[in-house]
Amino acid sequence: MMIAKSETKSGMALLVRLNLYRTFTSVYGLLYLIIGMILPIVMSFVFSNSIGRQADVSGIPIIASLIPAILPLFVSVGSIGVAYLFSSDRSNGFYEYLIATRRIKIRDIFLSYAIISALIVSLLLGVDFAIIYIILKLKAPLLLPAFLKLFIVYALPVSYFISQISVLAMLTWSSLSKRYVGVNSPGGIGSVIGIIPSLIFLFVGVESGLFANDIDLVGGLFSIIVFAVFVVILVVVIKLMSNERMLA
Amino acid sequence: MKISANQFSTGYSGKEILHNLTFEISKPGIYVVLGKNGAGKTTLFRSLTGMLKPYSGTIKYNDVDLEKSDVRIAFLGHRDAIPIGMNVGSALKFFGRIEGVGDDSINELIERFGMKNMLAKSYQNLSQGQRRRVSLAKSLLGNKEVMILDEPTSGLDPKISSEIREFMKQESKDRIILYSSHNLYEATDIGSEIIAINEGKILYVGDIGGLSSGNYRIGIRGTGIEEVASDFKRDGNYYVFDLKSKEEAADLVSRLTTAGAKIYEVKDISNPLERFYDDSKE
Repeated sequence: MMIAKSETKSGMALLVRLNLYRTFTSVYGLLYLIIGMILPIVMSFVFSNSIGRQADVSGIPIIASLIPAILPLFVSVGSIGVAYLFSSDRSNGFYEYLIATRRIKIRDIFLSYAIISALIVSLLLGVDFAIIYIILKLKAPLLLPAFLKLFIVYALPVSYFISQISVLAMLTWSSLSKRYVGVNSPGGIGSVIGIIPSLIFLFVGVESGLFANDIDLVGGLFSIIVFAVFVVILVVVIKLMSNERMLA
Repeated sequence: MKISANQFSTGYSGKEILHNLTFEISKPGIYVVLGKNGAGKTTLFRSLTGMLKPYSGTIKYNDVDLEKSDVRIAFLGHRDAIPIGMNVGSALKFFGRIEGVGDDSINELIERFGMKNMLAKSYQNLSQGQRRRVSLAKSLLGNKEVMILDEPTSGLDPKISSEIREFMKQESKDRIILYSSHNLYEATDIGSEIIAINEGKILYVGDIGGLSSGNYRIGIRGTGIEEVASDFKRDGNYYVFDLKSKEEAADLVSRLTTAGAKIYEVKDISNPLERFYDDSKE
């Protein structure tokens, strides 16, 4: 058998490329991407329209906070489509093969999904931010300063952290569950975990009005808490995972 | 290349499945791994690839612990390991990239395994036999020192199975191939050495020729046999006799022809490997 010159790409890099490709070409991946990208834009359009017509500006601080508050919710959902592939790949022996032949580590498998999640979040945040900025600039410029501040201290970091938490939760749930495709679908647990922190901030931090004057500070503190939760989950997952969990 | 296991035990979730295995393989060839369902064959294969960590003992390649060894292993498990969403062509290219091989190697396997007409098909739309063929082909990409193949011809038609066996025989000249199969005739055709396992323990490691079946079974095709003999079973066109030796077989044939039976064919259908599937012979 004629052997070509060996490539230097690692197994993890190939996994990232493969899963990115499948995210953009699979039904699940595309559906979640669309949810993550389109819905925040639509809601921003609706909010800015209502503010534009409103003469009374007393509700502005809350409305201004709503847009960056809902962004992580949709962006995290938008980024988890790829995690559906994990369950199927594990059940059909794909990771077993990679561990056996390439000595790929569990952390590399999980890390590849984390990288893809981060890339997708970057794409969604980039597109959403650009379009929402334009919408607000044109339709409700009063909302812009508050939007920008909370975007930087809350929406941007929390989008990344809760996406990673969601994907980690999905992969861990799938790995620890019985190995039946379909029944083993990790979707429910992951998207729920991604939504909960955003909902907490949305209702307690924004909707309640309790922190209207300190919403940026609260948003920043919340980001730190979510980051801490992410680190704890990561450490626990690394301890729980063994090659055995990847077997078909 | 040498593979050695020394008092190796492992299992799943703390439950030991393989118990104190000790064996050594040091020459190229095909080693057929035999055992009933649940005997521990798959667990052994997973251990030899490093998927399962030892509870005790060691597995070494060329006297280096498996974890530190840089041995290149080809692996085919009982699942096909093809990611969803790929067609056959893209799957083979993907695994070719993983293994660092070029299109020439991939095309060679496509030709050999008769997969030209399947390349554009989605993997999910293939028959079981076709899927197995693709899965086996991807496992053989790259220049590997050891091949570990779990029932590679399962579900394949006889022609392709035969070609794969011939391919394995060529590959085994300079590498170790561990090959599990429930087809005892395939096992005796392809392998010269066997490793027999039962309930997580090694029963036998060695040459197939060193085994004796304990009986001599022949199938005779002919007419007038029923009028002369009575201690036979029917298997299609054959009258099957269980005898003690070749000499007894020669006597039987002589008696039949003397009594007027017409003999068209006499076939040896003994298989020394049957004992590893026969509870009464453990």
